[in-house]
Amino acid sequence: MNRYLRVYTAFLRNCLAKELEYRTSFILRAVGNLAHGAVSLLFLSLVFRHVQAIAGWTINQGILLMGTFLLFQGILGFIFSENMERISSYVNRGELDFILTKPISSQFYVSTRLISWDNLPRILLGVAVILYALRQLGSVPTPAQVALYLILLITGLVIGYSLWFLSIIYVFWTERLRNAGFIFHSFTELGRIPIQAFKGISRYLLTFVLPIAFMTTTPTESLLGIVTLSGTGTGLFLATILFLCANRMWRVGLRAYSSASS
Amino acid sequence: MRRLRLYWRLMTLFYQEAFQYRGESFIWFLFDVLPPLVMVILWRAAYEDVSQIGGYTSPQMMLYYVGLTTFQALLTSHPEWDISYEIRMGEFSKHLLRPLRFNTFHIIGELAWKGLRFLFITPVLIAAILWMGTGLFSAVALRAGTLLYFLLSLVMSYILAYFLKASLGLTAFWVIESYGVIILFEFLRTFFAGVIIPLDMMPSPIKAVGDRLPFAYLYFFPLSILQGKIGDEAILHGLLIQGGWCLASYLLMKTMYHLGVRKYSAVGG
Repeated sequence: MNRYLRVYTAFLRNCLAKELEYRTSFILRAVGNLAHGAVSLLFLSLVFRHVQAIAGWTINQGILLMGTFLLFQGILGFIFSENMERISSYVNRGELDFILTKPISSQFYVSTRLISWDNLPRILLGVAVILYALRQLGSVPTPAQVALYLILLITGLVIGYSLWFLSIIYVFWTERLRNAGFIFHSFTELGRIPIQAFKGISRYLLTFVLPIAFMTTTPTESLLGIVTLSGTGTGLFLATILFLCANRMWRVGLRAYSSASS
Repeated sequence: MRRLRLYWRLMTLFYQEAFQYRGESFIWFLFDVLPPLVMVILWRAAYEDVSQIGGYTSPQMMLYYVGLTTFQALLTSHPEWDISYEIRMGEFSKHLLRPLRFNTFHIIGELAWKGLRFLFITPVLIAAILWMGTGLFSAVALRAGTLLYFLLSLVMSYILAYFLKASLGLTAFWVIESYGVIILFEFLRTFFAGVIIPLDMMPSPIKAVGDRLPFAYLYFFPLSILQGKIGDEAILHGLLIQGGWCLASYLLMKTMYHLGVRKYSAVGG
């Protein structure tokens, strides 16, 4: 465990150094990232100028959800986005050879090696928005609620990571669709909508099959004190199952791996 | 005649290339479809309690996003990635040697890819109509006269987007990592083109800025004609400005091209 922490610290430092090599590009990307978040907030405030509630969520609850969404997507992007885009090239170019010989878990390495520091402003924005929304709501969450929120946020991140990882695992069997690493990140955009806004079958699908509900709605509800025990339990259960699936599929994939060229 | 044969040949080659990467292409296409889908779901939930928001009825709002998605998919090309890649990798030299203009090459390529996109957008449109009902058509307010203006504005939207994006790609002559520039541009485009929310629902200072930028003429202007939001005089005025932006963006691209080529050193080529 200690070793993994040390390795990850080294990744963090190394990637930051790399970003600082192309400062202009880094700053532009960070600003772009931040602006994207700001636009989401603007959209929300514009819609709420005209309506009282969307799917039972008031404006401040909506802002809280948006803060959670920004935090969630920021962390997911910070840790995983560049890695998920790279995995297919590891496999197709045979670079995986070098990773397999390293004395740490290969799944850990391919999932965490590259850090997108440009997502940091979005994470900070998310936290700021959450604090603002809580103030507007005039509610101070109890330590227990905060703890539950963090647990549910991590649960959501595990679900997000596992699904993302599973969505690109096919790279072991085909060289097609090399950009599929991007698609999942785009899919998480649905997380800015409260799950109650979905009707019929889509709500069911987004709760149990592609559980976007547990990525943003459930954590937010925990801060509002309206999350249910069964909701928390289902989230934890899905996170465990999906993470085990991701790990299992990586092993199956490795068996199909045959290096490249040379 | 020989020219035409050449173009045709190029077109079929690009078309084959596009089809070879149809899977990837479909995924990029989803990038255009998913964000408006998010908006539509939110708007539909919002319209459950009220019948009009910011001057838009529910069918009008739905038509706005369906139209926006279609225009984004079919009228906005993305030559900037290819162009900046060519410059960075030194592959740009081929344009200097070939007896074919750089723009012709990219426009033909873009058109071929658009053919594929057309195949993708059709089922999306059918699904949208099934989902949103025929109310969608009731929001269309075209007359025989404005139909022509509408089509003209679409053509100019394509031209404007192409030259803006080509200029964007050419920034790679000066900026090593053009990724950041492209991201920033995309942000400005989505913000001021009315992609997030109809431009006339923006707070008035933002709308005032947006009106003075070319982005408003990519989708918002054609959509305003389609929905009958502006009168004949405003349409003609708008078409004139749109034409002006087309010309300006062409000149910008041309100037950047000439200055850039002088600076270009064919790294690695």
